Amino acid sequence: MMSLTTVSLTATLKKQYSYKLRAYNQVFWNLVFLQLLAVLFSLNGVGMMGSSSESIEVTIHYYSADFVVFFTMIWGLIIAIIITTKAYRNDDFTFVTNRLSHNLSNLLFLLTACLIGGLTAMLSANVIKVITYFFDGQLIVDSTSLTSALGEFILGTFTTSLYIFLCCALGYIVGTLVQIHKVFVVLVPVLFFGGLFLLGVSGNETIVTNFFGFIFKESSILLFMIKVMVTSGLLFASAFLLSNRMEVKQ
Amino acid sequence: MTILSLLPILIILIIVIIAAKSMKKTANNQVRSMSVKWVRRIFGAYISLLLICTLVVPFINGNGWDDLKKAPVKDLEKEGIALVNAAAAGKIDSIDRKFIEKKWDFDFREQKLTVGSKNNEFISTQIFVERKKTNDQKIEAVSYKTRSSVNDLDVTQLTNPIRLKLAANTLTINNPKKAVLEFNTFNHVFSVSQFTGEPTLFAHHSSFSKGQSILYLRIPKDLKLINKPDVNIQFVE
Repeated sequence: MMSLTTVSLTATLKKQYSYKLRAYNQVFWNLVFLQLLAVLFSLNGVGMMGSSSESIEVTIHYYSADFVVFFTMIWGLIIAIIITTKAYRNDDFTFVTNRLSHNLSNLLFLLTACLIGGLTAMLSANVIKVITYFFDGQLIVDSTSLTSALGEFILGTFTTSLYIFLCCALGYIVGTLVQIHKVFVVLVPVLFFGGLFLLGVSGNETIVTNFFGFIFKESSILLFMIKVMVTSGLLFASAFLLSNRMEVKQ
Repeated sequence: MTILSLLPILIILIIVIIAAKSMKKTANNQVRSMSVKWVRRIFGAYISLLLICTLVVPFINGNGWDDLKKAPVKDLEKEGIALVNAAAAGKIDSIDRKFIEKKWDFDFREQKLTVGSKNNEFISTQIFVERKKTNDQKIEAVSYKTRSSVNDLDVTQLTNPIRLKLAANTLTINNPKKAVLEFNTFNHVFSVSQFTGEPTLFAHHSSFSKGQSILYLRIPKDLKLINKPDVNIQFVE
């Protein structure tokens, strides 16, 4: 039977995107679980400094939402891998679809997830502050003025979302590779961790440092944005190209 | 590399596996996956918690530390140097009275005074002695202390002064009762501190300055002063 109806890419994308937002809602429950777990870990503090003289003894406990952001990045990596799996991919065949609309709707879903993840990660810092205050009674916060706090919140949400997006891109290419051939399940972690280990023991730590420093040590927001966008763009583009080579319903 | 150092990686791996497994169940649309209604409820409750805490934070921000003024370490260093220089030059009166921590006046009719510490304890306070022009049989002691700071916050009011005791012909100096201060500080998340020039990714920076303390003694003109090795006395010319 032939269909004479022509469906535009935008319409398909819209349908697939709204379907994915509803169907993949489980990932947001996982986000809540991981962020609350990270909040729990953060309550023990992320560091401590002590100093003492004959007359004074000072102990400073440091708290931050670093763990929450880190866990949310891991969450981004996992959901990107998961949505490339066969079970999720087959969902798209309930619609008129092609690889492009499938990948683009996944990209839109991941972008939305990153924004939600970035926003909740930044807000979860307040949960740590409130719990710490009510249990320990004292708290010094670096930024005390409301305007600077708001500025930092917007900056934090934006950059955290970018970090999560980068992890999503990484997860998406890994997931796509694994779908092409199962050997990548072993090959990717072995290459990554083995590479880090070999570079470490061979005295080439600077390569490892530069590898992570390329993003983590970038102090210019504009350069950081460009680096993340370009890297993520390349990773997603590679994943799109690789998935085009796959058989339908592979 | 010890087993303990691998523990964080192990915990993260377990979390990753649990999270991935639970998400994968949904993909297969198995019964064990949480219903949409419940996911919405949990996520809604979580968002509510985040928003409530966000509203509470402005009220607790810095609460309890409002009395502490700013005291940058570089200012404190200048204050300390100025205090020691003024004391050594005999111009202690030029020092701001706000640095006076405590004053003592002792009547003393003996010819000799021994200065030492209890149990030969090391005294970090520098001692300056000025001979008066008369034998008025009185010893005046003034303890000066510049500001102490933790992370550029003035904590001087939380510290204690040195202790002096005159018994027979011995002046015993004791270190202040140790002030134990505990602070909780909330650092920016690394994705913010990366762009604000602060230490990033689990790194922290703190500053602590205990301040400069001196004990300035004015003694009668002909009083013979004997100091024990645990205290360092400097005479003002």
